[in-house]
Amino acid sequence: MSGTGRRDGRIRPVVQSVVRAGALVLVWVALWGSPSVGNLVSGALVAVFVLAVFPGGPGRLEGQDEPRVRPLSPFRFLGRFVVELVMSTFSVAIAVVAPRRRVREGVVKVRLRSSSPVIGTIVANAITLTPGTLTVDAEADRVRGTLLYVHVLGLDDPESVRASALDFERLAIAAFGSAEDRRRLRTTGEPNP
Amino acid sequence: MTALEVLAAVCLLLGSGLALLSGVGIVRLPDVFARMHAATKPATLGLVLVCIGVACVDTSLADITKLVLVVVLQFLTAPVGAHMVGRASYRIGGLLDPDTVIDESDV
Amino acid sequence: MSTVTLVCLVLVSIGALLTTVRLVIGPSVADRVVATDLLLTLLTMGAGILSARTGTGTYLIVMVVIAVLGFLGTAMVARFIEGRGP
Repeated sequence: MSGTGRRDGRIRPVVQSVVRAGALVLVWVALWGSPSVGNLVSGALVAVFVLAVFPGGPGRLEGQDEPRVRPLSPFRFLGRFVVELVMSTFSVAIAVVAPRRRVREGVVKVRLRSSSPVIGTIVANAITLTPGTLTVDAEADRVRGTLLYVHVLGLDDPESVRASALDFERLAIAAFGSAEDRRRLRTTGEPNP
Repeated sequence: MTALEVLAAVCLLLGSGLALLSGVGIVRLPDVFARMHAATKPATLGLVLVCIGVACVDTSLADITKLVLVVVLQFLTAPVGAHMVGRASYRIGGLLDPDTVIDESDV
Repeated sequence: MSTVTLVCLVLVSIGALLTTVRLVIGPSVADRVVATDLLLTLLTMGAGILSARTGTGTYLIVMVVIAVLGFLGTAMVARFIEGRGP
């Protein structure tokens, strides 16, 4: 999907809507179990209706900000995500069973490299499901990158929290990032520009 | 019992154990934010395990799609729910434990 | 299998009972909202276990609906807290 010029700007929204409608029909048919004519037709009607009522979504972003999914990277992200989720469950178990020591809590600010709401949401959710951390606030910032406020149980070192968050961001961008995100990732090796 | 049924049983039991853990956690932990940790993490994993367990027993496409949908929805919404409550509490400031350290370093 | 699902239902029920304790005790609205959210997740799990127990897929749609609506409820109360205070 490359292309420059006006023609691209006019065609792409249509292609996008068709792809989305197709995805919706696919899910609809899967929910009903069999690709019968009735299911396909009703699916198409529902898809058209839904897209008419909710036309928004990431499609509103400029071409450069479009999320692009690469083939294998989502699995790497998912793998890391699952590992962190399992470990976080263990850490909760330990906190519950262990004697009540007063753990130090804290809030750490993490500046992401990306400004994209998609990446921000994915990373914020991933952080919440990792051991000891919970995203409590987020500030969008088109220029410097999204700012996340992360609450931590058992805080020893703010930098380690930031490192872990930025690592997640790297995996998320590799999997779902837009061209703009990837460029930012390449040019800012260090978290603070 | 077939291997698949054994897998289903294990997943269901583990998931339910995590449900219990969430309940214990939300009662025992000392403050709101800690309880949020207990409410989201084991519960999400528990739900995933239960869904895997059900998928082993009930393998039709229609039902597996529903289960996948539930898992995806859970991943998207559970952290956000806790986050929104946390954000509200953080902004008002009334619920943070008094000796919470806030890292004010400008990043 | 039905013994297994019975044990599972008992475990989830105990978890739900404990969560209800927190729902009642509080002390803040935030505590209660988090408890409600967890309760809904546990309900979803219960529906899933029930589906495995009875072998029908009837309860699966219940899971989807709870997941969606539960989130909406939590989000609304969170906005409310933000406006009003705990």
